Amino acid sequence: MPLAKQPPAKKEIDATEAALKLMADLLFKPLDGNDMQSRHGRFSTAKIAESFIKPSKTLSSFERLEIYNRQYWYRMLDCIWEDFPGVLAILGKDKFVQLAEAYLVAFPSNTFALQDLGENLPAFIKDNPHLSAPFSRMAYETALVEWADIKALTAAAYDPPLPEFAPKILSGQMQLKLQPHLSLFSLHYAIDDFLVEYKKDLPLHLVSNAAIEKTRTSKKRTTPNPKRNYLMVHRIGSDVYFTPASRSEYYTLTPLLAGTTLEEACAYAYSRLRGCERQALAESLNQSFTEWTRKKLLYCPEL
Amino acid sequence: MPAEQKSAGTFFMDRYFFWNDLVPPNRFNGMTDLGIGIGLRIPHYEHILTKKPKLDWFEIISENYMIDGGRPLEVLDAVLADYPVVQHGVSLYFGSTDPYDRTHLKKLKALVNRTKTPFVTDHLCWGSTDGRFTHDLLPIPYTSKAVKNTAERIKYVRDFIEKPICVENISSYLEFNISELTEWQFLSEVAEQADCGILLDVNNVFVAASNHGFDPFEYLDKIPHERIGQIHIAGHTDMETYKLDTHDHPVCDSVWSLYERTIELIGPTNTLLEWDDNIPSFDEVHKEALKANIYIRRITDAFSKATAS
Ligand SMILES: [Fe+2]
Repeated sequence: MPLAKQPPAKKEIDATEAALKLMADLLFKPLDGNDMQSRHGRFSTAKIAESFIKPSKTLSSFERLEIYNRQYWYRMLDCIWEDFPGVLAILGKDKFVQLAEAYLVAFPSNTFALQDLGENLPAFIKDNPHLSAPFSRMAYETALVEWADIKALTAAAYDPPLPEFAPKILSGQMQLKLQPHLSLFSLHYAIDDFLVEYKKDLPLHLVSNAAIEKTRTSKKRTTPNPKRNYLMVHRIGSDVYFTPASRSEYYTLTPLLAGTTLEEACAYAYSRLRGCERQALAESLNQSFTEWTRKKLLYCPEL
Repeated sequence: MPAEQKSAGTFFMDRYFFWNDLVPPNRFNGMTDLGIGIGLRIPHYEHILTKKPKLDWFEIISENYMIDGGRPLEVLDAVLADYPVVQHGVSLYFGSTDPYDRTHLKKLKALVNRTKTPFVTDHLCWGSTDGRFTHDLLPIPYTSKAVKNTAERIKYVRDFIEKPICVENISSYLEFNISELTEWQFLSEVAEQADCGILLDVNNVFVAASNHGFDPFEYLDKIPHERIGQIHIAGHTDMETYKLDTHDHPVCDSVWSLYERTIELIGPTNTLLEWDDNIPSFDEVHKEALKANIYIRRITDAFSKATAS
C-alpha cells in the first residue's frame, strides 16, 4: 500500500493553527506565583483568552486557559524536580524553581521523550552561573552526574567482545568503544557520595496521560564535599552505578569516548601522566582493562 | 439515563445483528477480544514478574518503552512472554500541525515490531507546535479544516507503522470560539475520514460533558459504534468548578453508567482501567477493573432474556 502523504501545507489550516500557536505561546509563559500571568506583552491575558476561548458556566476563558498553563508548568517542573534532586538539595526549593523555570523558557522540550527534558540543564547551569551562585560549580557537576544517571538508565548496552578477539583489538584491526550508557567525569566534589543518599527510593520518571497534581517535597538543603576525583556513571544489568575511576583510567577512557583506537588512547594517557613509568602504566591499564571487561563497559561496533 | 429509552425487547432486537456482526473484534482493534486489562505500571513490576497474576491483557504507554535499553525493556519482554500487550501513546498529537518527525515514528514502529501489538491507540488532541512539546493532551478547535488535518495525520501514522489505529477522545477544560462542530461530531468525522477506530474513554466523555455542559449519553448515542475498538475507564477529581482527569481514583458511578450504556450499544468490548497516580496494589487496581464484569453480565443477561423471549 502506498504511504499516505505528509499532512497538508500549513496554509490550509490558518484559523486552527493560529489558535494552537496562540494557546502554546500563553501556555509556555511561566506562572506568576501559582497563577497565569495577567499580561501578555501590551495586552491583557484575559482579553486575549476571551478572543479565542469560550467561557463555561463556572469558569471564565482566562480561568479555563489557566488550567492548562498550570498543568504545563507543574508537569515540566515536576520532571526537572524528580530528575535533579541533587541540584535541588544544593540550591534549595526557591532558587531551584527559578533555575528550572529559566531553563524551561530557554530549552522547552523539543522531543516526544519527556525523559530527555533535562538534557541541556548542565550546560545551562554552566552558561548562566548567576542562577546558581554561589554554588555554580557544584550545581553544574551535580547536574552532569544526575543527567548521566538518567541517560544510563535507558541507553543501549551491547555485548562485550569475546577474549578471542583480543589480538585483533590490540593490533587496531577492531575498534573498541565504550557502552552508550557510560559517562566519565573529572570532578571537584564528591558527587557520588552526595547523590547516593538521594538516589534512595527515587522512582524512574515515566509519563502517563493523566493530569499531574502533586505536592512537591524536598529534603533538607545540603552540599557535596570538595574532593578532586574521577567518576564513571554506567549500568550493569538494569542498575546504574557510580564507580570511582583512577587518573590513568580517566585519561585512557576519555580518548576512547571520543572515538580513538585503544593504542592511541594509551599513548594519550601516557602523555598526560607525566612522571609515570611506562611499565607501571601498562600494568595499571591491564588491571583496569580486566575490570572494564568484567563490568562490560566496552564493546566492538564491528561485532 | 440514556437520552432515548426504548423497551428492552425492541432495543435488544435492534442490537442483535449489530452485536453479532460488528463487535467486539473488528478491523480497528486487530480483530481482538481481549477482555478486561489494566495499564502496566512501575509499582506493579515486581508483583507481575514474580507472581504472574492472572490478567486478560496489559496496556503500555508506548513512550515509556521507546528507549534503547534498560529495565523497562527487560520488564516489557518478560510481560510480553505471558500477556497480550496493546500500545497506547501520548505523543502522536494527531491534531498538531507540524510535520511528523520520522525518527519518532521509526522508534514507534520498532516498538510495534517488538510488542506485536494488534493495534495502536493515541489521543484526539494536539500537543506540539513549532517544534516545542507541551507533553499535554490539548483540545483541538472542532473545525472542518482540523478534521481534515487530523484525519490525514492519523492515516500517515497508520501507513507508517502498518497497524490499525484507534483514536481516543480526551478530557478537556476549554472550548474554542472557532469550533463549528460538537466534540462527538468532530470525533465521528475524523474517524470516518481517517477510516480509523475509536478508543472510547467513558471517563473522558463524563469529564468533558461536565466541563462543557453537554449530555454524555447523547455523545455515546451519536458516535459510530462500529468503529469502537476499545473502552477506557478511569477515575477523575472534582475540583468544584470543573472536573480534572487525574486517573488517581476508583471509577465513579456516573462513569460506570456510561460504561454500561456503551456495552448496551456495542456489546462487550476490550476494556481497560487507567490508574496512573497514587497507584494502589496490583490486586486493588485489577479488582476495580473487574467491576466492569458486573455491567457486562447485566447487559448480556438482559440480552439473552430478550432474545430468548
Ligand atoms: Fe484514556
